[in-house]
Amino acid sequence: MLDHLALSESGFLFDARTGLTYTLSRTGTFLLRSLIDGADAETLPERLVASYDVEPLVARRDIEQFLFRLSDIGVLRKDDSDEEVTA
Amino acid sequence: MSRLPKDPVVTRLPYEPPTIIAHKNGLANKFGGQSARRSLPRIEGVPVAELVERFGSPLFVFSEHTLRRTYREVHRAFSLRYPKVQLAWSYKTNYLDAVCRVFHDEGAWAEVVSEVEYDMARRNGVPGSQILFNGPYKPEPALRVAIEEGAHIHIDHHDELYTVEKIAKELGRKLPVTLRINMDTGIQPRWDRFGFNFDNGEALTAIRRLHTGGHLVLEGLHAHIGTFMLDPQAYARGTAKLAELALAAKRDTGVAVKTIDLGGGLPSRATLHGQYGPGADSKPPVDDYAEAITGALLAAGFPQDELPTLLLESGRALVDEAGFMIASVVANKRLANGTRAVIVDAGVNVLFTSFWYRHDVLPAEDHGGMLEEAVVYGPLCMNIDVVRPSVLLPPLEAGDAVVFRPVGAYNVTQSMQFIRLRPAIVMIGENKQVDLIRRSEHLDDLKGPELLPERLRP
Amino acid sequence: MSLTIAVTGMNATDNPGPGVAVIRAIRDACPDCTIVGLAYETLDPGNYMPGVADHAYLLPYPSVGVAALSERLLAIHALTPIDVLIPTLDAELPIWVRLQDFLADRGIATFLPDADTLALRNKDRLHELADLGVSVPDSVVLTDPTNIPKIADELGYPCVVKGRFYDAYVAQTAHDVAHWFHKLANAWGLPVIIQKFVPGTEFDVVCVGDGEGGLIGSVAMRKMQLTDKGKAWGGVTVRDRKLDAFVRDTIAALSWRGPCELEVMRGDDGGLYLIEINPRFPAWVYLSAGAGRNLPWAAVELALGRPVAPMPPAPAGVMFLRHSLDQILPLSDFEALTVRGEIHRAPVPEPAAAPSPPAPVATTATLTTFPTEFPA
Repeated sequence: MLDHLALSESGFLFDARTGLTYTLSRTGTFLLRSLIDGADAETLPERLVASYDVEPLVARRDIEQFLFRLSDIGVLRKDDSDEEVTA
Repeated sequence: MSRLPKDPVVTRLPYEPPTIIAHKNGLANKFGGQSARRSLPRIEGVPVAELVERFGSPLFVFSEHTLRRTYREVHRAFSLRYPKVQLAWSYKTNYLDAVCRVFHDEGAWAEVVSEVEYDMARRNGVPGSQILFNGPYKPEPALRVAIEEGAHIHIDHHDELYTVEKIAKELGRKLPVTLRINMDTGIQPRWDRFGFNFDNGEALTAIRRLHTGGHLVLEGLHAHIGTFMLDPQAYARGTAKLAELALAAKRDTGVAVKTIDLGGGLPSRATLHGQYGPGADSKPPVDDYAEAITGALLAAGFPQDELPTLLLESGRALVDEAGFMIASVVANKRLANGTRAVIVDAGVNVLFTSFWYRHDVLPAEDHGGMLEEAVVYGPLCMNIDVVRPSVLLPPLEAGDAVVFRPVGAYNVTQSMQFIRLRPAIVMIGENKQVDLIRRSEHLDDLKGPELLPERLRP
Repeated sequence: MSLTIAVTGMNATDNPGPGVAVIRAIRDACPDCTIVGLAYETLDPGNYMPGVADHAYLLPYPSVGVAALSERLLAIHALTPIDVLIPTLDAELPIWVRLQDFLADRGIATFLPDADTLALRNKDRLHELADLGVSVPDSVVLTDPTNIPKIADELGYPCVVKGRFYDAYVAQTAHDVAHWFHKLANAWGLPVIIQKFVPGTEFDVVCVGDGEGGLIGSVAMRKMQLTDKGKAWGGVTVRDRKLDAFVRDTIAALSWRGPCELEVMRGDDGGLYLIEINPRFPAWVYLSAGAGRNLPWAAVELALGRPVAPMPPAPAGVMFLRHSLDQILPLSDFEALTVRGEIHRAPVPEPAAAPSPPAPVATTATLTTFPTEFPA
């Protein structure tokens, strides 16, 4: 559960745990929204390719880097533990 | 290509890479860096993509139209205000024959600071009488050739004064010379390493000495007060001091000075690191400099029939904006601290002026997506290879072209084959015809002059 | 038809910009006016204060230059047509001054000095005002520390060492001057200005000049309480005929057009000296409305070309005390300014286009609106 994250459709993200705010690109918003809604990280490339005009290889590469970045800046860290959602 | 719809039946949304940007205090303004998205798909009407396809990347591009237009603007600004004006193209700013010849075609003389540059100008068909020979080191043989061919010798120091005097004695005729003068014009740093000092009286003493020697005649006075001068009033002060010196020389020696040379130092629209706002906004129009210089000359009190010719040795102001560098994205990276990095195929070995300017970096094509600050690195395996420390850019893919501008001044002359060889250079003509004016280099261009001792050969 | 007035400087912080004070004064005179607040930072409190701006917009920093700033203003103008623009920050003024005619052609009125007059108030040129007959402390402009020994003869000690843009220090000796010279030259560049020290009392005067030498109105204030940055946190209006005449003469000598703040020193010798001109309203300008001399509204009327009669001198004894207050605001307001660069508290006028909609996101994922409550 990523219930510490409040993501609006404008791409504005509030991390209730840290109080930090972020802006995400449209695809970034799409991917994080999917994760918040419980999607398995494995399914993200497929979802992205279905909705956006991108080749699977590029989608996979970009998602990998995006998830690493989310994890790196700490937004995937859950509220009450150090457990992380990983790709 | 990743951006082409694979299946035209299903409408999918246009893609941009997924990114997340943290809001830092004071940096959360999405309009902070710029308000509008900018790109430069064409240079002088020629598509950037077409230039890359024909000539490769990276690629220097010069616009003949801008060279000519800029020259005419500068010349007009001065000649509208003063009856006798001559521009001399400062060779060290850009050695390309095609560039030099455009300026000579427009009527520019040549200003050179070494025998090598002197020979370049002669090869470009400039007669000695239209060459200003400057610089602290002119070897004696070079001086003799220049004197023989009627070039204007600008004396930098006492040792040179004696050398020229000796040559005059040998030739048995009086030689016209110009003295380079330095002075306080109220700006920092003060350039006092070249020439004779005005403020402490060294200059006037040298003039008297030259006159009493009997072998030299003072033809002109020259000062170059600094570089990238953003204050036209510094030129007004410099001009007033040169004029005062000229009138004092006339009073003391009876010889009227024929030329007053204010050197160069005019800025371009480039933006210095640390400068507030774009350089184009803070650069005063050339008319302000013309007004400052000609106003001081006209107010100095020269008799009407002894009004000296005004010489100007422009370089950067004439050529910088005519030069572009097309580079291609090699890779995208995220640094350990989260900073976005873009690696391009043109580094500081060919964009030397990146060390003091924030060059404008424009994608040839903006595919959309969120703008994000990025550091732009060159391709060299050297930590100093940063061509732009921070700039807002849209998402870019490897292979996308970006254009750096203005880069016409000093980059070609100061470029070097460090790690990579130097790229091709093209000129876009007035009719949009594109000509290769320097091919990209081969290994032989670098290794040609080397000799291997016999014992090291296989 | 109701007017729309745009005001910059929404940074009502502990070192406040004048925007909120200017807007409050305009609201006093014109309750029906629509106010557009223009801010350079998402966290400028003026953007979020109730009853201040009807529409808040972000501008790009002035450092982006003339082209980008005017482009953004025109985009805002297309959304909420602006009748009058009152800029209030030093850093942006040179740009708006350059754009006066450009803005006028597009229906945005301003009332500002021309570029030459604006340049005359630069610290390194203040001594030139002496040539116009304005009493300023003697000063020398230093570009080279080797000239520091001359100060003893030319000005004497103590003297005030001033940076090109900001900061001033009192120096007692040549050694002090050398110390501050290098510090200020490093921070702000050359030249460094050395001003004769005038012992006495400082008064701040907010003025509006008509641009033809006339003074529309002025309010003089003595600071009663200072922040640690030396800014007024409380003050009281004063009335002094000699000071009134000094202000009138200064505005006349400069033919100042628009708002400004004069910093005037009444020396212990009884003389009045102009220390500095700030080419915009000060943050304490609401005091002028409080004293019955609503200078921000006068600037609006002058910008619109309406005749404004010169105001009689302001009464003495009107006091102000600034206070700070913690504003509770919806996170969605911060989101709106951060993501879209605009907050609207009033309807966007017809027929202008609606504000840019949020970027489309693929609809395969569930979209939720921004939650107002978070898990504890």
